[in-house]
Amino acid sequence: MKKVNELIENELIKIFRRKNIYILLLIGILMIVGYSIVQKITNPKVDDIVKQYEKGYERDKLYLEYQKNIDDEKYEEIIERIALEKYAFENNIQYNILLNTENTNAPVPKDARIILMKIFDNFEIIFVFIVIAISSTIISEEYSKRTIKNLFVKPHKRTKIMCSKIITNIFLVIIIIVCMVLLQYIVGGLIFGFDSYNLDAIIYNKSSQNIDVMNLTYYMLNLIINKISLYILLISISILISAFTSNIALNILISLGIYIIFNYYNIAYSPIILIVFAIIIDILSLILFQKKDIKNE
Amino acid sequence: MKVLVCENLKKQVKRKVIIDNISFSVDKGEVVGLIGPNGAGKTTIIKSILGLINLTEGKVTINGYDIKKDFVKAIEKVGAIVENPDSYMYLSGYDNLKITANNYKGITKSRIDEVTKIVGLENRIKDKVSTYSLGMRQRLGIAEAIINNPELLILDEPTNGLDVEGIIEIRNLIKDLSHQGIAIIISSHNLTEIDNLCNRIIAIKNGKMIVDETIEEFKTSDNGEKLSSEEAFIKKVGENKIV
Repeated sequence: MKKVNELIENELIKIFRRKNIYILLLIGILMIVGYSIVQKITNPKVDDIVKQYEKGYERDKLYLEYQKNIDDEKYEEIIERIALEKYAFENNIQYNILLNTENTNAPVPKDARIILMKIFDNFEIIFVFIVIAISSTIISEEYSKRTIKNLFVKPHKRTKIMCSKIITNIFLVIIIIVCMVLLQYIVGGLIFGFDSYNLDAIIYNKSSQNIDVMNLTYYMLNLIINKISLYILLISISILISAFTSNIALNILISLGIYIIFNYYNIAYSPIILIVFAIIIDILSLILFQKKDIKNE
Repeated sequence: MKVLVCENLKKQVKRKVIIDNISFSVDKGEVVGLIGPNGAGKTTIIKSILGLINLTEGKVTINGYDIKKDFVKAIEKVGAIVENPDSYMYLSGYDNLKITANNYKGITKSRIDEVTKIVGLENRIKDKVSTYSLGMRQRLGIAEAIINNPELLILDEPTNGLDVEGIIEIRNLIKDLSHQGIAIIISSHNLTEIDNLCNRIIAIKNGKMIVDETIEEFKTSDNGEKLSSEEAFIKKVGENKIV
């Protein structure tokens, strides 16, 4: 166990002595701060938010009544919005609860809470890029720079070395994501005020066509766990690709491509299934690395 | 007990036989020169010993431990530079040594400082390796290879890129290490270096071992004539190029 800790320490030294990680994190931080500032500046001036929800509700109902040939996706979007707007004015909601949609006819100002809930919608591509950039270099670069041979002539089995890299990678990604969410919480609170965080998460349930209300912290934890499970799977895929190529750019491209396909086809699995897939892929990677010869220069 | 025993090593990739029927052993304190033309299979032999490639046939034992069955125990007391001393360029020399030290039990800061002094990098050890000359990187590689007080040291072209002073220092270091009982294998194209450092020669050609002699035997022809290293190489290994 002590040796695994030291292998992880080695990986962390290698990661944190590089400028790249700080540049990526800085980009993430600037985007989060910048986005909140821009939203504050461009927020519509609305005196009575409840009346604005009522106005939005009326207009959406009229639209559905008189508009012919609405595509399914648009129809679903408006149904969701109507349900949320109705809930909002019936319950005197003073904050934005339109999570997946916006009513351009009766815009509701954004607040810290809604921006926090949408953090992955707004910044996921950055998070995914950070995840893949770290995981593609953690092994591929060792092969391309030929430092892998130094690693493999140390008194550790290859599987232990690879496990330490996978563990470090996962640990780092969890820390980065949690820190980004906390940063958004703080930045949003400082710019918009912290009071909106007192409101629960209010979600339209497409299956039951009802409104679900849950504690905001619970919602965010659920969201983070789901997203981190997906990122763990992406890490595993990137590491598997490293078994076949030491080309970092190609690794990033393929991994991003797989993520985009997941997103485009809305492939959604439970966190447990994603983790199980990740473990299967990791086991495959470990077998491949165990058998791989270190080729001559 | 022999420090290193190689028995019938064979490496074949698809139809190509890279090395075949390589058998030799190395005792404590021996300095073995591994010579041969480019592509002869020297690096393949070294990589087989270190477990970096999977052998098609054969067995490698280090200090009695099979490299395949007991890799961790076998490799524990081995230090090596394979091909080039590829360190992490974005880290300092010190960080590279610290990372190396973390792989072993009981390597303290004072040992890191000691090897830094042995290879003469005290003034530059905190600088990034990307700012080092080739010779300095070579010294760092040697420091990494000896940090765990190895019983078997494998060095691929150890004086590559060093100036005259550096070459002399490294040669003296290698001699000191062999006097301490460390078994050393040096792969080199430089016959002068082999002549100065080694007490035994193993010559490889086309993947086969064609010479395994003491340096004195190597430099003596069949009719008892004394030869220079170059003459012996040409006669016995059959390579026309003289380095």
